[in-house]
Amino acid sequence: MHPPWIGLAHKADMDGLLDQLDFAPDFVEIPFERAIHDPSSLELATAPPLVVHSASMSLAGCVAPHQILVEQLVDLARRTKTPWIGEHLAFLTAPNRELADNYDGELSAGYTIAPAFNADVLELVVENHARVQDKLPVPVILENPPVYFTMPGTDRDPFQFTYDLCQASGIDLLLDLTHLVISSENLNIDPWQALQTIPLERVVEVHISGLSRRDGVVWDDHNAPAPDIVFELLSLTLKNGSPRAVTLEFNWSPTFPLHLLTEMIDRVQLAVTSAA
Amino acid sequence: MSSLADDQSYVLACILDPDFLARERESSQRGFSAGDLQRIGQIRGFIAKVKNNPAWEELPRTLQALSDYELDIQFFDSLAGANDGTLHLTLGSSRARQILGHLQVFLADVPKGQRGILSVLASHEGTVHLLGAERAAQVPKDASPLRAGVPRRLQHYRLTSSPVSLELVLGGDNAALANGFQPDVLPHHYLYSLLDELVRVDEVDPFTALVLASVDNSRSISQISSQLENLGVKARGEEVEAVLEFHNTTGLVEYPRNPTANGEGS
Repeated sequence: MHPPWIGLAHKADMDGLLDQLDFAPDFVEIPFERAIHDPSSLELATAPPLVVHSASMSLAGCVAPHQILVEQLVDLARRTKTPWIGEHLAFLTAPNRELADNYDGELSAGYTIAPAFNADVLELVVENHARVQDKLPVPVILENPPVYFTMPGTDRDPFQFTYDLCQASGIDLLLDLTHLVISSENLNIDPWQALQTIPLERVVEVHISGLSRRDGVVWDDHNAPAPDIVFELLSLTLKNGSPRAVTLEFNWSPTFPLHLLTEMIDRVQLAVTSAA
Repeated sequence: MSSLADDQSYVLACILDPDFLARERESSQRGFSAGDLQRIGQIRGFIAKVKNNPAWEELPRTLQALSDYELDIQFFDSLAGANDGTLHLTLGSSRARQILGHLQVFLADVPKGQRGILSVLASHEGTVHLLGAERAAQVPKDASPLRAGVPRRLQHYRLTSSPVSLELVLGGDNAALANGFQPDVLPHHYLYSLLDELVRVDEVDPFTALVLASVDNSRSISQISSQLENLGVKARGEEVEAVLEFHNTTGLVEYPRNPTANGEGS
């Protein structure tokens, strides 16, 4: 079995970063939204393989992805030859039932939010996924979101929901280990127990990033180093699963220290080597 | 499904409309706890923070300090609230100006030590940003004839003062500095100028700072002296001239001391 590729999430001045690093990533993960707004972001000097990641489809939402968005994803998938498309198990759009004026028929925060975890949402996710998967040339894998609060109607934890989703469908996973730690802490769940609940054999890609704590809440933070537990969970994931890729996401700030990024890369490489 | 759509719509409305969230926090009857609604407010700040990540290009030290002091989400929530819930500010220099402008308001409620350090960093990066934005303009052109005894600017430059050494703030551990923050007895004065394409920062003495700040392409030496005297600063004409002559050699100002040599007179 081939060890997983190790890649970096695209960030501003990606070529400059790749020049400075003593590490050639196996791939660069390109956000769909960045590729659309700035097509030049696809043209990296070293032309590494690209993996597309999206945060736009709102697959856990009640508004179906717009046709033009799906068409853009199809086009991008073909141009990049991405082996899969990662998407969040989340919603970012909903019908507007609250606000008058200034809003059309839909509300969008422009950012993914964890849904309620129950049977209705599970059915919705499977339906929405099937609808877009039917049009896309590569598999759409779903990423566990960071959970910051519990939506009304929730009747199971997000990890059990992920397990149930895999049981109910053929959808494969993008396991964000930092999101797993964030959700576990915010919901008072043991992260090791959470990882045991995830069907690791269905994990295609793993994400690694940092987190920060504010007023008793743990938040996603791609401008902070990943804590030790993320690497410990990575080792177990690699031992019990066979992901094809591990992506380091430290892409929020151009000033993320190079020595820290190098340390994060070294720790991922060590985990991969140890698991081989 | 209707309930699901309603709940998702409700959460997004809380995030997008600060007034809506404020009303709901007073008397929500939608199954969301007070804690949930507080958390949703924080999510708005978190989203605004993430959506303005490009500002790290312009304000890396200020944003890092906000993060170090664990004020970043609170700040961006406040910023979004002040902009009618706008989560994603406009691009470019306008965004940096909005962030720095709102920071001045936000800092009023921040502990003194953190406020001091953040003010210095914001002032520094704001000044660097403004000078950088002026870079394309090359020289502040003044088409009027050079008048004897009236200095004028040859380059863009700006002056700031700080209650604590900028060198200490930029080179030190902000968090440690904030914990022991004590303003200096006398403020430090900094001259920001453009050296080729880079912004150069030099600490200058208070008198030099006042003289250079007074150069506006219309005041004469005697007027600058009088203005400084009015501020309580003893400023003889030859002392003002000495500063200007020095900065004539650095290329910052043009000072036609001898009108005949320039072929022009007043």
